[in-house]
Amino acid sequence: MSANWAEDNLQTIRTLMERASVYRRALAPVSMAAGGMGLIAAVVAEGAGWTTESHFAFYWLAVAFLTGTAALGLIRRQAVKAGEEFWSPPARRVARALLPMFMAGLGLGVLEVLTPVASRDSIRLVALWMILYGGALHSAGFFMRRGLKLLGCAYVIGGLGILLSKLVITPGAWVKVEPHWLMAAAFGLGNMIYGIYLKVTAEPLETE
Amino acid sequence: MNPESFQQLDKVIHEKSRMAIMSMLAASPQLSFTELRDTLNMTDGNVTTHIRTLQKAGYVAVAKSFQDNRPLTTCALTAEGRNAFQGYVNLLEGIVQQAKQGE
Repeated sequence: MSANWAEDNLQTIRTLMERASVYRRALAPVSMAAGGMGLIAAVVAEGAGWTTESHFAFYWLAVAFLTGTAALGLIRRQAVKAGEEFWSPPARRVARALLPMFMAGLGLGVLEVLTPVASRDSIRLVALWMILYGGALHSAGFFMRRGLKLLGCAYVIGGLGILLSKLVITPGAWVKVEPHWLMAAAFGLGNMIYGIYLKVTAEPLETE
Repeated sequence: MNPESFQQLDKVIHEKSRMAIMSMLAASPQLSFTELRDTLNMTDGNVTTHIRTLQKAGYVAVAKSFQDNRPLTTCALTAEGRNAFQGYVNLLEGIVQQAKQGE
């Protein structure tokens, strides 16, 4: 045995202690809230008739901002309830993992808003957002539940599949697809199903 | 480096899986069986065995209840377990410091 071994053990202990204090229980309600907001936002947009390309990117950037704010509120409430620190080192690590892809998604959305309406492509934007969102979840998965990485991969594959289908396989079919419903399916339903899955499965079973 | 330091390490905690369980419990008021199993990537049997060992040593308290009509098993460190874990960490830090002074 050596001092290196003792140092390794201490590092393992630190890592596990940090991981244990990340907001585990907040993930299910956050996913369900994000999913719910995605579904409601799509229904509102369709109901209000905001179906032109001119509204799409700006509208969903606003929805993403509101969803992010709601998620932070839920996480903070959970942390306060559990007597844990809100902006703890592991929480900062998760935020840092999410940030680059989220910023890239924001950048793409802003570029779409600045693009002339005739050149905009909302379906392509949804696919690119899915890829970036998947990347963000995959990065965060290194510090949280293992399932998050799988969900991230599913989003990346889904986004790439849409791009492939739209650009190569069946470009004509996508003309009829309403981008708001695609957002509802990808982000609303996707997050809602993951949240429900967490809620149903994450609760403990018998030990023996 | 003093070899006695190694001999003083708590044998119950000084096992990779049990040290991991103790580390997680030390950072949280209580954790469910499933949270421990999933985070540490262990099997049900492994977690059960190690929790039982820690329970026998008086380091971990296990509570069983129901939530949404489903059984809920939660684990928490006892005061004795918290002291033992703190002692274990202090000893490891001492070993590292001794090695640094000896360099």
